[in-house]
This record gives sequence, C-alpha cells and structure tokens, in this order.
Amino acid sequence: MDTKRILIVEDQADIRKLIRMTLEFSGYDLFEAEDGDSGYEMALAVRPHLMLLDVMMPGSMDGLQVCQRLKRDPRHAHIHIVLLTARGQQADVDTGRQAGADDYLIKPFSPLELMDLADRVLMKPATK
Amino acid sequence: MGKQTKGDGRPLRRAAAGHKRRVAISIDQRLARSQIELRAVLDAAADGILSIDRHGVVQSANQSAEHTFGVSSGMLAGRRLDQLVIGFDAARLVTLLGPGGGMHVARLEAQGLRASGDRFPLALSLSEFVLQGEVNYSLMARDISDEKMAEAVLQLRLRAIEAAHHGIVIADMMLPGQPIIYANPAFTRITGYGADDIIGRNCKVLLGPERSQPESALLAAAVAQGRSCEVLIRNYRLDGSLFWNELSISPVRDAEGRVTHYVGSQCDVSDRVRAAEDLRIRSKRLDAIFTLSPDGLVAFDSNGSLSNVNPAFLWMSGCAAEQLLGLSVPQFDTLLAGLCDPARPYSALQHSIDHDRPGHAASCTLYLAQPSHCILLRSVRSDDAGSPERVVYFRDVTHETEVDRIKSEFLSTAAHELRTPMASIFGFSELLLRRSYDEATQRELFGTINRQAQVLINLINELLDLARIEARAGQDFNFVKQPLAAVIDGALSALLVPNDTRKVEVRLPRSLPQVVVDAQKFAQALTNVLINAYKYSPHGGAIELFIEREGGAVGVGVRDHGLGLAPAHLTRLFERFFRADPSGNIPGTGLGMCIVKEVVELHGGRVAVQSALGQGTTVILWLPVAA
Repeated sequence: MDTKRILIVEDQADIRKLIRMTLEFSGYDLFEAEDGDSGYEMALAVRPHLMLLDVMMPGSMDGLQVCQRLKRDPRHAHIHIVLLTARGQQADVDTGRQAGADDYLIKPFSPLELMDLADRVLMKPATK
Repeated sequence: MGKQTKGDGRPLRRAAAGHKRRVAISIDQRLARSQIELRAVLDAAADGILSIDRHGVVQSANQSAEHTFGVSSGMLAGRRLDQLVIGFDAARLVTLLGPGGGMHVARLEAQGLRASGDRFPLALSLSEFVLQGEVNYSLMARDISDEKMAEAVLQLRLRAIEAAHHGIVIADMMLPGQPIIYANPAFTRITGYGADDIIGRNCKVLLGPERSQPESALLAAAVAQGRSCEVLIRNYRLDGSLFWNELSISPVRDAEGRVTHYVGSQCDVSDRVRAAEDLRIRSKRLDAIFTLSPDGLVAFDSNGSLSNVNPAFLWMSGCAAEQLLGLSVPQFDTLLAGLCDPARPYSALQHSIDHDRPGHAASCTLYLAQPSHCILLRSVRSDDAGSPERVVYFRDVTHETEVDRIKSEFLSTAAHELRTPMASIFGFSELLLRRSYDEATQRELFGTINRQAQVLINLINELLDLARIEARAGQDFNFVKQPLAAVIDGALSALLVPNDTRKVEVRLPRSLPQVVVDAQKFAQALTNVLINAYKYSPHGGAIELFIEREGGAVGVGVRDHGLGLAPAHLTRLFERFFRADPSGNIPGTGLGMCIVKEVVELHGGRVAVQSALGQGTTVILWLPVAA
C-alpha cells in the first residue's frame, strides 16, 4: 500500500510548521504550498489524498476557489479537502460546503483533532 | 288777493280825491299800472314777502309766501303771524325791533309751520315801517330746508371723517408751502401730531430723518402732475418713532380744474409690515433649510400634485425639477420604481399614503440603481389636521449601511487576525504538552509561541489605539506649538529596531518651522513609518529621513530601498489588517499605517506614499506649518 499524501496549502509559515509537526510521525508524505495558485498546481502534480487548505490566502486564488476548481474537475474531485479558516461563522461553513469542501477546521485547532481527522480520512478504504 | 288789492288801493283812492276827474283817471290808470307792476315784482320774488300789522296779523303776502307756508292763493291775509312762524306774536315783534319809530332790521332763523302742520326751518328778515301813524312790519321769509339739509349732510360727513379709523389730512395747494389745513383725530392717534401741531405745516414733516425715500419722490411726482398716488412709506411720529404708513393722496379740483387741495389718507400698517417681514424671514429660513437640507424633500399639494422638490432630492434622483413638478403620486411612483434596483422590491409611495395614519411617518427602504447605487430611507408624513398634503422625506443611508457593513466586516476580520496567532500558540503549546521534544526543539517552539503571543499583544494594542483615536477624533490629543526638529529628535532617539544595525540617515535643513502637534502621537506615527521602512527592506539599504516644504506645509519623509509595493497593494496600504507581506515572515498587524493616517489627518495633515515594486517606498507625513 503506497504512502498517503497530504498537501498543506497555507500562507502562514508558523501554521505550516504546526501542521507538519503534528502529522510528521503519522507516516504520511507531506507537501506544502504557500498560496492558492501554487497549491492548485501542486495538487495537480502530487495528487494528494488529503488537502489541508487555508481559506484566506493572497494570490489570484483563495482557498475556496482552489477547492471549487478541484472539486469541479472529475479527475480531482475525489481529493478529500479540509478547509482551514479563522472565520467560524455558519455562513463561512456554508460557503465552504458550497465550494465542495469535505471538512472544516477552525483556527485555532487542536493538533490532536487534526491528527484524528487525518487518520479517519486516510484510514478509510480509498474511495477511488 | 282781492282783499289785498283793496287794502293797497285805499291810499291811492284818497290821493285821487283832490284831483280833477280827467286827471284823476289818468293818475288812477298810472297807479293801477304801478300796482300791477309791483305785484308782478313781488310775485316774482323768490322769498316770501308779507306785510304784518302791529297786531301781528298778515295784511298782504306774495305768491312765494303762500307757497312757502303751503296755503292757497289769497289765504294768508288775515292770519296771525304766530300761526305761520312759531313764537312770532306781536309782542315778539316789538321785542325784536324795539318799541317802534326806528328803521330796524332783524335777521334770524325760526321755525315755520305749514298749513299741513309740518314744521320747517325759516330764514327771516324783519323790518318795520310806519303807515298812517301805525307801526307795520314787513317780513321776508325763506324756506331754508334745503340749506339745512345740505348743512346736515356736511356735518355728517365731517363727523364721519372725524370718526374715521384712517388718518385724513387736507393740504391747501393754493397757499405757499402747501400747508395742512385739516387733520382728523385718527391722524393725531397715528402720528402723535395734534391738529395744532400739524396745521400750517407741510406733510413732509412726517418723513423725519428719511427725507429722500424713493416713495417720497413718487408722491412729489404725482402732486406735480395732479394725480392720485398710493405708497407704502416710512414715516415718523412726533416722538420720533417709526411707523409704516400706507398713504394715498388724491387731488381736489375747483370748477376750472385747478388742483386746490390734496386729501391724504393714512393707515399705520406697521404691524402688517412687521408680520409680513416676519413671515418673509420665516419662509426664507424654511426655504434655506429646504434648499440646504442634505435630505431629499418632496411635497405633494392638496390636489395630490408634486409641488416642491429640494436640490438634495434632485441630486439623489438625478432628475430635473421640471421632470418632477406636477407629477401625481402614481406617476412619481413609476419614476422612482424605474430608478430602483429591479432585484429589490419597490414599495409604492401610494401604498404608504393609503395606509398611513395622521401624524405618523411611514418609512421604507429603497435601493436605487440609478443614477448611482444608493440606499434611501423614505418616510411620508401627512399633517395632523388630515389635510391631503404630503411631505415625503428621503434620507441617504448608503453611508450608514456601508459603515454597518464595514464594521461587521472589521469585527470579523479582527477576529480572524486574532485567531491566526492564537492558532500557533494553542497548537504548539498542545504539541509541547503531549509530545516529548528535545530541548532545542522545545526552545524553538516556545520561541514561536512567545513571538505569536507578542503579535497578539501588538494587535490588541494597536486595535485599541486605533479605536481610541477614531472614537475621540483627536479630542484627547495634546496639541502644542513646538519646533518640528524636537519632535523628530524625540521619535528618533526612542526608535528601537531589533536585529538591525542600520542607523536612520537624517537630513534636516538648518532651520525647521514650528508645528502644532501632539508630540507623542506624532512620534508614534513617525515611528510606525520608520519601523515599516526597516521591516520592508530586509536586505539592507539606507533608511533616510528628510524634509520637504510646499506652501504652508512641511513634509517629514522616510525613504527605504527595500521591497516596495505593487500598485494594487499601494492603494490598499491604509486598509486595516492589510499586509504587504501576508506570509508572516515580516511581523506586523496590518494596523500601523491606519494609525499613521488617522494621527496625521487629525493634525490637519495628510500622508503621501510613493512606491515601486523592488525599488523601495517613500512615505511623507505632511503637516501644516504653525502660523
């Protein structure tokens, strides 16, 4: 069984580092991107199983747009996308759902929670 | 008449007795002729002529006398005089003319008594004559009913003039100086001038100190042309106080058409003029309010037709007044609905009017798409008296709505900004609690937590700073006139930039002007700009501080040669939480430049920024030079 790939798309270096340190002993391959555009490119290249996608990012695409584009593309729609956001209102959750996100993590989040989420998503039999 | 003739004939016959018959006949004929002529003369006289004997009995009378006393021809002779003229018996005649012998004449008025019993006024002229040793009287009587009546009418008119509410004066135009010859009591009441004060003087005395009023010239022109004239003129009372005189003058002409008099009628209309002036000022004030009101106002008259619209509404609607005036409510609704965003329901004014209650303002919100996007609050108000007139009021709440939106967006952004450092603090501290790390990693993580906690503290401080500056709008600023050089020195000496050895290259001119500033607040702004210069030139390059002058302003400039800003970023520089570098590599809150802008603008200055990507940034804080 090949190693599961997780793509982290987050503009804040400290948060990338936190996610990396949280998941580093779980046996996944971790990939990082600093903004929406490079995150999208990397998603096409890496074909991750799980994508942790920050919503508010600089660049021409924010997290929601990246999510939307991937989910509308049948070749990538299977990627399990978890949106990371500092906005916790129901309206934002709904916007994320509309963009096709599978899950939501609100900052600040507990590393344990993130680990559980990653394990739950990636231990499942592959959907495809 | 026959008896009278016989009576008159007696002396003639006696005179004839001593003459020859032929001669007597001739004398008789001449006498008869003379008698007829005398009769004719007497009968032609306009006045009644009677001869009275000493007993007060009528001996003879002419036709006018019969007519005057209303008796048939020949019926006066033999009547007692006191039956014709009340109180005139023989004794009275003696009293009036004396005991006889003289040629006295008495003129007097008395009451006549007609045969019908009517009394009437009589003018009497009475004299006595002696005939054959006996005193007789001749009486001329004239019915003066018409004169009396005319006199009574004149008296009545005079009393009417005296009782008039208007002041009335008559000026004699034939006399030099055209003096006033009559003034009624109302004139005295209005002007304070008694008849004695004013009679003999010219009307111009009422002009007081204002002798050259234009109305005065109008009056003079009218008088010169013999015309009537009406003016409203400022006049002065005897006590010097002003009153508004509504004066009308009319000429009086004689039979030849010459103007002999002028009659002036005056009315003190000071109260009316004052009330009109008050009303004018009041409506001018209301007009100004209506015109200057930033809120749109539209009024419908009692016919339901749009009668007034103010400039604010014209501006809001982009309509010309001519397009709107005269519109009915449904027509106005159609026009307004056409301006509104079709995606938003339009609430008809007619509906509000149909459902309003007197004295109650019904409001609704309109979303205009034309002439520009704006949000209007519309209220319609009818007056309490139930009149069909309506005033419709429009308030542009675009700004308030936008402020509300910005505020909630700000709160949500602020929460987001607070959650971001919190995510690191919470996440790393949990990792440290749950996992074992070597000491170096532990130190590194603690360092990150500490750094993010500092970010959080800075963010909270700057948020509070900004909130305080905005809320107080400079009220807590301690503005002091002081030398700009001292303020700059203060900011520079307190500047602390960690991990950077560069010194600010300060280039100040020899003399710097005085400015009125809160030194502490301005130093904070300058410090923020200087720290940005350091932070956004991480690869080095000079940090320069320089001075520029332009008119009455002095600019404190800070230049770096660092990363610079893309044009898109430059326009967002003063947005809250805007970060030119959002990666978190350069610490900051995104509030520093907002504070700079607020502080400088509260000093009456402005912030100018020049920047090009990769070439650095120049920020100039412009301040007005102290007078």
